[in-house]
Amino acid sequence: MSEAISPAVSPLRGHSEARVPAGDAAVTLTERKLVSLVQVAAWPETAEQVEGILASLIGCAPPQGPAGSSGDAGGAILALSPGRWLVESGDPRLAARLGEQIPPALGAVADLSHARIAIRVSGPKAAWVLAKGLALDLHPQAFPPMKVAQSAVHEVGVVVRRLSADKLGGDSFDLYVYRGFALSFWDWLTEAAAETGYRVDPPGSA
Amino acid sequence: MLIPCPHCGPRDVAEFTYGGDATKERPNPDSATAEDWCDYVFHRDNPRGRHVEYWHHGQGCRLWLKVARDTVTHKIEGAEVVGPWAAAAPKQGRDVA
Ligand SMILES: [Zn+2]
Repeated sequence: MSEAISPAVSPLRGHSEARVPAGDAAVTLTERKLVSLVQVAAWPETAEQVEGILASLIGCAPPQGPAGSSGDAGGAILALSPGRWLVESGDPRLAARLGEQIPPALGAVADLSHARIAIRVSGPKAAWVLAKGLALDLHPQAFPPMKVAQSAVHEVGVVVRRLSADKLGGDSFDLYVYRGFALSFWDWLTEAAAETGYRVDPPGSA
Repeated sequence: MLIPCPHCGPRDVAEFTYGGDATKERPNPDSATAEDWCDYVFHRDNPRGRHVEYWHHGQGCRLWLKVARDTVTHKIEGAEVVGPWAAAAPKQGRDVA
């Protein structure tokens, strides 16, 4: 019989624990702790207004340009497509707060906090490893820090965000993956990173 | 084949779902005859060369695009967003040969 896993327990439990390789590690993988992750979708007429609400609620500037992002893990806005954002925050009441401020006349609020897992991939070979499954141009000129892409790795939907290198002292990406695909995605990622060697930092440490 | 999504940039065709012939215009239900509907629902030209098609970027921005593609060479002339977000789209998709 399969064991029921509570939303509070990661599907990567038993897989994403800290691991230090004997050899090189050009990539570091960390399962991040997701407190609140909410998708907000506006109507064409209300997109600007909703973006303003998100920015003031999260306390950061709106994302710059299409497919951009703003903020940090304490509160971030990722622009997925015109009028659609992914909002992450350490506030457990984020979805409720957004729901209060964004009624159906302005847009739709969907709480995805328990529907996604978040993985940080960092290190000098991070882009190299991701490029094995992500059909995106990850050159820093084409995909600079703070840029966001909704794409897929072997047909598994994934949202990718490149982080600001100066803050973290190196190249880093945050990935958001469907919870139900967490294990197979983690398998793919660790296999892709086997070539360069990888280290796993304790869950929640990034 | 790469489709130049105006919002996402060039993306692998695997991220898209084909949405059919974009040259057909839905008949006006108030005046259309049975022949008009038959033509709209069933008849397709299947051209050799330039064709305009709908593609849905389901694994990206989830917008519907109108893509001009050469059915012989697969060269894509351009892509534009259609539907309610057409006006919000940044620009015409680039040609990626
Ligand atoms: Zn797109």
